[in-house]
Amino acid sequence: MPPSAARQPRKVMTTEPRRRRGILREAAGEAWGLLVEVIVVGLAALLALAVAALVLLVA
Amino acid sequence: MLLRPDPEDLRVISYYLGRVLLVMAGVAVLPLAWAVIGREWAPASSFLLTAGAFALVGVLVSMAPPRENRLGLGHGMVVVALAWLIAPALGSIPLALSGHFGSFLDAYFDAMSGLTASGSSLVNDVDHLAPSLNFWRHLLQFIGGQGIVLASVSVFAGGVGLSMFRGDGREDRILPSVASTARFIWLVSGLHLVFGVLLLGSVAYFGLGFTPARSLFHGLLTFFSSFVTGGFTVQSTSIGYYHSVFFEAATMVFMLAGAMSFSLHYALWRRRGRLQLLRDLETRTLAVTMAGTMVLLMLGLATLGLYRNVGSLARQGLFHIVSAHTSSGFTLVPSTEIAQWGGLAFVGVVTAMFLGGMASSAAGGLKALRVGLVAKVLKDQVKRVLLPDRAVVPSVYQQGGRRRLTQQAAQAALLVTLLFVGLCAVGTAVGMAYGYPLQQALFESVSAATNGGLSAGIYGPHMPVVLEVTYILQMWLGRLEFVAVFALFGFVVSGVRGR
Repeated sequence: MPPSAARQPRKVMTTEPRRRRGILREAAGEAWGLLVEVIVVGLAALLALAVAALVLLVA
Repeated sequence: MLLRPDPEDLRVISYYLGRVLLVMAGVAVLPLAWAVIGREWAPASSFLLTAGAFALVGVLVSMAPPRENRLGLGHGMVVVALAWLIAPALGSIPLALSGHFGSFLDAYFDAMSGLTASGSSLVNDVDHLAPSLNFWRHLLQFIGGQGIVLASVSVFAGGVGLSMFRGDGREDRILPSVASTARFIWLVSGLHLVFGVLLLGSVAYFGLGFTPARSLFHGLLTFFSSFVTGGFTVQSTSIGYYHSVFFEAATMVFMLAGAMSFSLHYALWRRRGRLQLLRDLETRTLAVTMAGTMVLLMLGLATLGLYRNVGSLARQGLFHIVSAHTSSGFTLVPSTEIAQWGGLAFVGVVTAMFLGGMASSAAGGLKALRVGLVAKVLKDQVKRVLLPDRAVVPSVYQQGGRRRLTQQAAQAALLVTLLFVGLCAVGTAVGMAYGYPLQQALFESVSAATNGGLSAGIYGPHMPVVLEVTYILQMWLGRLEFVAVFALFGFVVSGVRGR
């Protein structure tokens, strides 16, 4: 079998789906960024509670 | 020898200054539309006047375009410094005409506080201010924090905007061109705006029982204020008005997002080098100083006996440290209560305000990167003293990869630190000259110089005029991080004394 026949035909994505996929990827990236920001505040709140408990024990 | 600027320099500066003012004229149309839709005819006419004034001054100063379309670094700095003086003057017109300010200077103070994203306010009875005027105050903050300059670079300046970009205290381009960086920043802000209004509005609607329109109004304005670490609020009692831990948490998300550098946003967005972020000097410095100042504040509050249970101490400590460290200026308590925070609580809040957020973010203050660099210089110096003479101390740090700490970078960080200390000292001295106690004068001065916005009770319509002007200048200098203002000063001096 010649090598060219074994090769699968390459799927060529047109400009529009590629653009749409790019936007979706960026939005997903930003959603991840927003999630990280929410998680950071959650962790900060837990840290604040721990520090407050410690401070009230010491003070 | 000083070189006197030639007419072409003046043409370049006035042309780009005019462009910035024309952008502001476009921005002023938004509250005009708001006022017309809300049938607030008196504010509508003042917004019409404001938009007209911006447009008229913008057209007049940009009437003579430069022969060559080249904006040098010095030109850009002068444009930015002038824009930050003129825009508040024109932007304060509707505020002065509203009857909610004691004088035009008070309105100018508010507009300067807004555009520099400081958040200190001299408005009388903000609870009964027309919604369109409140929208304008918050919009001034958003456009100032995001950058009038950014808007102008996106719209007009194109590839020549780097110098204006730097003058605005934004040192790094995330993407190859300034225009694409500006577009990226607006995109991040746009997506945060949608998420922020939805989150804050939902808390107001479901948690506080506000009407849909009121939820949207409070959500939008609080987002504007928190994402640029501004500090203006819809109600006179700041975020304390809502009595909601969820609203406070949502506000903290956007205060922290606003204090993050746009490089950090970019890295999170692109999912590249996320682990590197944890190793970066700036991220580590901010985490350490925020935790340290929070411990100080909580120890101080506990010693004063103000909050005796874990929940309320954690809530007050965390919220106020995030607010101070990001230079936002939101509070949960009145300024009269903050004035009573002596001892460690005072040290914690003032230190947090002074240190500020990340470089190239909307936050004010010294900035975490400079704090980290100064600490690194100090550490290396101590090492050199303790190690044998022949020992080589490598001056390297992590910031988006391994970097060498050059003498130039160390000098720049130390110089800006020194200038910030000097600026705070001058404001404190003026406050004390008017009879205010050291602690109160220092608090207010640091708040103005770092665009912090928190108050220990001096800011108010009763303030002496000289003190008010001092705070205005401190906000201006602090926002532009000195260089642009010095460039303007140098430009004026060389115009007079140059050859």
